Amino acid sequence: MTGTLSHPDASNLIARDDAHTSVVWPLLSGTARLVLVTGAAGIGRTALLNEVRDTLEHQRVRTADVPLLRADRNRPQAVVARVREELDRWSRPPVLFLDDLQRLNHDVLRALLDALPYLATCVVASYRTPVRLEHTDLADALETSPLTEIVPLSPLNRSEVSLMFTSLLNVSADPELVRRLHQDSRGVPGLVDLAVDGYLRGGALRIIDRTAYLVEEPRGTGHRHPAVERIRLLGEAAWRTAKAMAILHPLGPAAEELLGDTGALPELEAEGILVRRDDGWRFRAPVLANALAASLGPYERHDLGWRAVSAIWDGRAFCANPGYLPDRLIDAGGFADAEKAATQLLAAGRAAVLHDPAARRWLRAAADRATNPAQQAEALFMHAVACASHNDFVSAMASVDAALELPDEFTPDQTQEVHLIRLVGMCAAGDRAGLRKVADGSWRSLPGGTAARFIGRAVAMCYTDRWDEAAKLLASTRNTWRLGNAATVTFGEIFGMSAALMTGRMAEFERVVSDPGLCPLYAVERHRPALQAAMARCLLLLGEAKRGARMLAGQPLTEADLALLGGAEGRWDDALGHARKALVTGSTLGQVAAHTALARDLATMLVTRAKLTRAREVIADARVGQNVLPHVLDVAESDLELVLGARDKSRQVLQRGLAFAAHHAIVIGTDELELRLAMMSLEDDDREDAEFRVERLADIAETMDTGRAHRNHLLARAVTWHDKSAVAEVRRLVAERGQPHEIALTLTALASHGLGDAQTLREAYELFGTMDALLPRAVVRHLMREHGVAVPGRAATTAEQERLLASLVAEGLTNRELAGVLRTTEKSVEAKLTRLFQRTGYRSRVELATAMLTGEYR
Amino acid sequence: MQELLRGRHGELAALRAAFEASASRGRLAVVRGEPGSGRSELLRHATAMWRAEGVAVVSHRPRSRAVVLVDDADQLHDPVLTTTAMRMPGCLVVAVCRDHAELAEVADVVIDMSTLSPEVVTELITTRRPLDHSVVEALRTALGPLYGNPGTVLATLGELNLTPVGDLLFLADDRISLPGNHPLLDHVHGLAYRVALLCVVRQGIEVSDLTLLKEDLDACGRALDELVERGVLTPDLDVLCPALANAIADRGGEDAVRRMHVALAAESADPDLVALAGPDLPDAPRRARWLADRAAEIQGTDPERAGRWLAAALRMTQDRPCGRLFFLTLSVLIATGQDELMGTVLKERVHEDSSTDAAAMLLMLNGEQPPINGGPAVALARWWLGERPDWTPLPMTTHDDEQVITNAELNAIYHALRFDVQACRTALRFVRDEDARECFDELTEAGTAGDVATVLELVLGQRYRTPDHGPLKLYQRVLRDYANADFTAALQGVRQLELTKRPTPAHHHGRMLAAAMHSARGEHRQAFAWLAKVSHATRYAPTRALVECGLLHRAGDSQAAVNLAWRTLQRAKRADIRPGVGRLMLQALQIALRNNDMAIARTLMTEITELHRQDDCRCTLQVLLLAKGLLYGDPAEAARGAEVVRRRGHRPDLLWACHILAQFCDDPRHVVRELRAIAKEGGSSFLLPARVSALMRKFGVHAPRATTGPSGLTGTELRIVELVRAGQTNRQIATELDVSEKAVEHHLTRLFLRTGVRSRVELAAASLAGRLDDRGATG
Repeated sequence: MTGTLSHPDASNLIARDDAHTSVVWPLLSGTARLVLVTGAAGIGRTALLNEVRDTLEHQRVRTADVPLLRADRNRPQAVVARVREELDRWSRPPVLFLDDLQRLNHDVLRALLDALPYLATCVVASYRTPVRLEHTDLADALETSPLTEIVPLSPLNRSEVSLMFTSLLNVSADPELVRRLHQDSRGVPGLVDLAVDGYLRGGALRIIDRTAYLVEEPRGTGHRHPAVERIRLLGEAAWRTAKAMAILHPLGPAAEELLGDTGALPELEAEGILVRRDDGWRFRAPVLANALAASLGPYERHDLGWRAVSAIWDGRAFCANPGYLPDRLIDAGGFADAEKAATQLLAAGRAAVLHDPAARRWLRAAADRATNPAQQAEALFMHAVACASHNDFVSAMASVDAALELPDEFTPDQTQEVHLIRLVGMCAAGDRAGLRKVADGSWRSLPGGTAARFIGRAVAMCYTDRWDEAAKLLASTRNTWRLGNAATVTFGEIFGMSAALMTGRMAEFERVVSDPGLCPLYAVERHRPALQAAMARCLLLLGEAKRGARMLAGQPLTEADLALLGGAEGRWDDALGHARKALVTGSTLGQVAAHTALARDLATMLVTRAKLTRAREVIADARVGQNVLPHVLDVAESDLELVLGARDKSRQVLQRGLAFAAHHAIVIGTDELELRLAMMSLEDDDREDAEFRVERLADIAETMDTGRAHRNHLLARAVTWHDKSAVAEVRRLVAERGQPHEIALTLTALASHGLGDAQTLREAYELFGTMDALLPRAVVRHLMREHGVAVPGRAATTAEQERLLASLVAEGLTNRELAGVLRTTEKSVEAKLTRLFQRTGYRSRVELATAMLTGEYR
Repeated sequence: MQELLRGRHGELAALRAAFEASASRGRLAVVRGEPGSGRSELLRHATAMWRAEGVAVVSHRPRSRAVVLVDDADQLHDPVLTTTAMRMPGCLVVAVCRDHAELAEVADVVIDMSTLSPEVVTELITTRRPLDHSVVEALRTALGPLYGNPGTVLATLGELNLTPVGDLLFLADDRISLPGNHPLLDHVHGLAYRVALLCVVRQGIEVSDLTLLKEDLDACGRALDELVERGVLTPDLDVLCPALANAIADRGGEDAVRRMHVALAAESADPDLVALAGPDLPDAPRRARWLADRAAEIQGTDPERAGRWLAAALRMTQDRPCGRLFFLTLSVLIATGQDELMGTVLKERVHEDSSTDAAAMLLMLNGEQPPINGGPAVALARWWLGERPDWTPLPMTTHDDEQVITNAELNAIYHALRFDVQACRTALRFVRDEDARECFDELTEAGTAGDVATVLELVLGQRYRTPDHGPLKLYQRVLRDYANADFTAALQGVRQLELTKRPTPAHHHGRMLAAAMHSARGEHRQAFAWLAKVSHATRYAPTRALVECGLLHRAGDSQAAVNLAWRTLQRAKRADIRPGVGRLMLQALQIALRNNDMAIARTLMTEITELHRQDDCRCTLQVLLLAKGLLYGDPAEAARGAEVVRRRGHRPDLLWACHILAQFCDDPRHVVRELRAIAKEGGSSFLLPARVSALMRKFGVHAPRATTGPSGLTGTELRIVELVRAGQTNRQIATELDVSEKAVEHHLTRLFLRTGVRSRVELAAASLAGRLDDRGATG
């Protein structure tokens, strides 16, 4: 709905069922005269009161709302008159609703409470905590009054915050996001809403596979949210003080002094916005500080920034957080001395370049404010590095371009690195035309010497899938670039090795892997983990999980590595989480092997877990943007089509992948495609083609000599020729490799071709169970029934069948598609659906889908 | 009913939902929006909606199920109390306000009036008044984000100075400013006004710039924050939109702006500030020299800015004229096309020399009237403007660098405009710009078309840039569009030309071109209307006769056409008028041949041969080759002629050549080749006259189809799109196409369905953006 904003009544009422009952019950049973709902601002008192009114009206209990306004503190008689008028209007007095009792002054509130026993009706009221000083005596009296029921509302816990998030945005939240949200908002629903609003408007959220992730550091936006408007309504002085404190409070005791006029602080404390601690003032919830800081006017921001900066420079104030001063330097803008500011910003950025995303803005500001070219060049270079390490390649490229205008200020190493950032950025942004130009050498002459140019061209070739050309170029110019600087040699070796690998030349790969010292940067601590990971990921792409894991042992693993390893080792719940996170943060951009492998693994896992639509989305996402080695994705896509019963389409996809690989002289990944084609041909009784594929697989296995290639070859040979020795061999091989999904698939394939026994099927069934692979489980169950093998756990099986059906329905499949996937008739699907809805109580597919998403239905 | 209120479906739906929810517990809905965003209009429609559904809509305390509307709730004494008191079961209270935090706090629903989408606003204003596209664009640029506020758009439009040309309204004045009573201007008072003016003058500021005001920094800062908060300034500290900036500048008048300039420039070492203050500075003469030196430093990198500084420096040395500074300033201004500054400099100048003479000439050629008597250059301009019978070429020397325009260059311009090919060639040898000699053919072609801008650009090279405003640039653009066969754009250009001040030859040439375009499309009425406005001076006679001949011939009176051509040719010969003669002869030859009037045809051929011998250039060669092809039935010669045209890239001429080629139907190779060339270059705006399309069909060449352009639309549909773009009503389109209005409606409906656009405006916009595609209704 455009331009409209409703107060989120519904979402404020998360986890308030008990409180609702505690309010309504005394009213209906007549045990209390006054029900008082208490809690901090934004906790949802008004929403609860509204809900209670609706309930009462529904029960045909008449209610009346007497508004208590901010101005009523100064006109006590008005409130009394309003209450009286409301009571006089009806023959039978209605239940009175008085929201925000804290707005009344002491005498009126006392009068009201005193009158309670004589009223002919009940009162539902709310009071915002903390209790105002003047009301202390009344609060004590109420606590002990038998006619009064007090219902305190408490903040939400973490899982309730998660639930609220899901009901707001209709997507589930990553645990890290929930933790942050809970911490920022302290579990107060109104502030959760404010925080989510800020994340959304600030573009800090990214959603992948129906899960939201926090990808940027959340900062407030100037949007006028009710939670902030409430502070504005406290009056000019309080509003200004609150905004100023948002900037100054990290300075602790010094903040009060810098503030100047501290008159409004007590009011803000009474309103529950600020909290006084031993070491100064704090905001009740961090999100408030962010939102208030974003509401600052430009001058206020400059002024406060400059006050903080000058205090710190003079030694009058101190902040332990190293990020505080640089941010205030940015705020202070032209008020602070440019030279000193640029130097400090650059220093702060340099110190935080790889680990703190904030370094990007400090370095950007440093570049803007630099007073000499050397300083500017350094700031631009560091900014590019910082952006690249946080996968913000668009900004990185802008700085690279600016930096390349100052060529004299850089060392050859830096120039090479900067240029590589540019190429990675182009790859990440999907700028294939630009890369092609670099690869063809027709683009503007690359920076650096001849050696660097060769590397640049080769990298561009790799990023446009011209691996073979790249390998040849690097091999033929090796004598030139081996004499280059450390960065040039390192990139030359790394890309030479990857390019050789893609075209099936394992020897070249092994040469570098066995002697990483060939890459000079390997000796540098900052670069070593990245280089090691790059090699390991190549192995993971090839399906060599054990070797990859060994290589990665002992160093901190990224999300992408965790996902790839988890997927191979059958820990799919973890793997899915890591994979989503890796893709959403873009951590594999520029890492072509890891990126494509990740998308393939994620899609495969989703397909087997019956999340078909999501799998399709993941594949489609991977194909736009950084689309390198697309034939690897074809494996997952063909599986997906096959599940949906589109055999022809599935075959076309496989053939397309093979054609692509052949065209680019790529070998890796083709064994997977060939194996699937061989199996399909066998099922279609096209033995000739199947036998041809087996020969091809034999060739590939010989060239690549990897476990996965051998397994694919042996499996194809086993099912095509019913070769007993191959069967034994492949079973031994997969057992040794120890990848549960691979083992289960192999066993299923063997069994479905009559090469297994009851034990084989049971083993596959259990393995798929550990991965919660719903679809293959259903397939294996079919096979078991066909072979007369008993399926264990009858009740559990029914539940699982139902869950599969529910998943598929939630994915938006039509009845016909459901029939296709479940290998049954539409009629039978209808019957099953009816049973499902009856049993679960959901009324529509949409309700069911939502329930799946929120985890309500499992 | 709801269709009447476009772009507000979301808000209406929210109100409706709020009413549904009010059954159990009364609700308060607050509609929040800036004045002019259409809040009352929304209420009016909501009322109608509810009344139509049988719901009582009242303005006092109701008894049963009802809706209470409170317009301008923020004007009430106690809006919160009043509105909340009325909230009771069965009742929805709708309060409309600007931005009332407390009211929003107590509301059950807050509905923010979104800004309307530009398409909706465009439709809103164009359905009320027949605005030309240029007016809509100008409004949109001037209002920026305020274009989404219908009240503001209508109020601004109401104060605009519009002139009708043809059936459409055009802007008579480029400056658009917000009405003085606009709500945003309420916040611009006192110190806030000075801060805002600073922002206007400096075109955006930094916070640290506030020190320039030399007032209490804190107070200025607060005023600044207030302006940002109120939306007068953007968070990046620029004025919200140009129209608001103009209104702020208007508020204090020129004096206030000048005072601000002086205040900023005093004691400042920023040349931009000093240049803005210029002669108003108390110590102007002292700083003039300094400013000129600064200008010299940046002249290479930013000549436009250097020009501004130099002009200011010149004006600051009022009492002590200095020839060198004068020459420098004017040459920079001329090289950057800053006409207005040039006019200012000349106006304040008593002194006259060859530099002022040249500058005055350029101003006069562009339709201005500088207060200078001038020398030979001004005389040249007077000749061109028809104020003098002739001009005498000057003696030429080779290099004369201290001249803005040398004698040789003046001569070259004169000869080019007279189409005196030999003399022009000679003069070019003495011209300073080496490249000028290379573009001899372009120069003569521009000369014969009366395209002064191109002539100047070619002769003076880097030393001249055509000013962005004025008839010269407009006419140059018309010619370019015409050469690209974008008739719609070209005709729009001619209409805009009509809006410029006094009639210059560019106007007459433009009118003749417009007549030719209408004639080519078979729209004789409009063609005659344009012709009637063309001057009867002899110099326009050949071109004018060319169009008239075509019209007469198409009307069936070929004999009269040939006679007219013949008479005109004799007249031109007597008066030694050359531009346009060759083309007229070719046209006459074509008609004569079709009449089988061989005697006249042969005479014309002799004349054409003679013309080419005398004025040997690409123009005459083209005419000669095509004429030979026609008269002797020689396809090879004709094809060579077509080749010459194709190299020029002039599409209407190429079509003409094709038409001539088509006479040799038994040997269609050349025609097909040329037609292919046309088809290949086809763009979205390229529209072929029916007879050429027929020709293409005949030779099996597909009509042009661009990847981004219209695809899958028939000729008629394209035509309709084009007329819609030109702002024609259905009736006008029907007249133009000679079909019934019903048929036009039918075509339009189908077009909407097929292209997926929903209105005429969208259709026009889509076609302009080249997005028009056969996307289907689902697209």
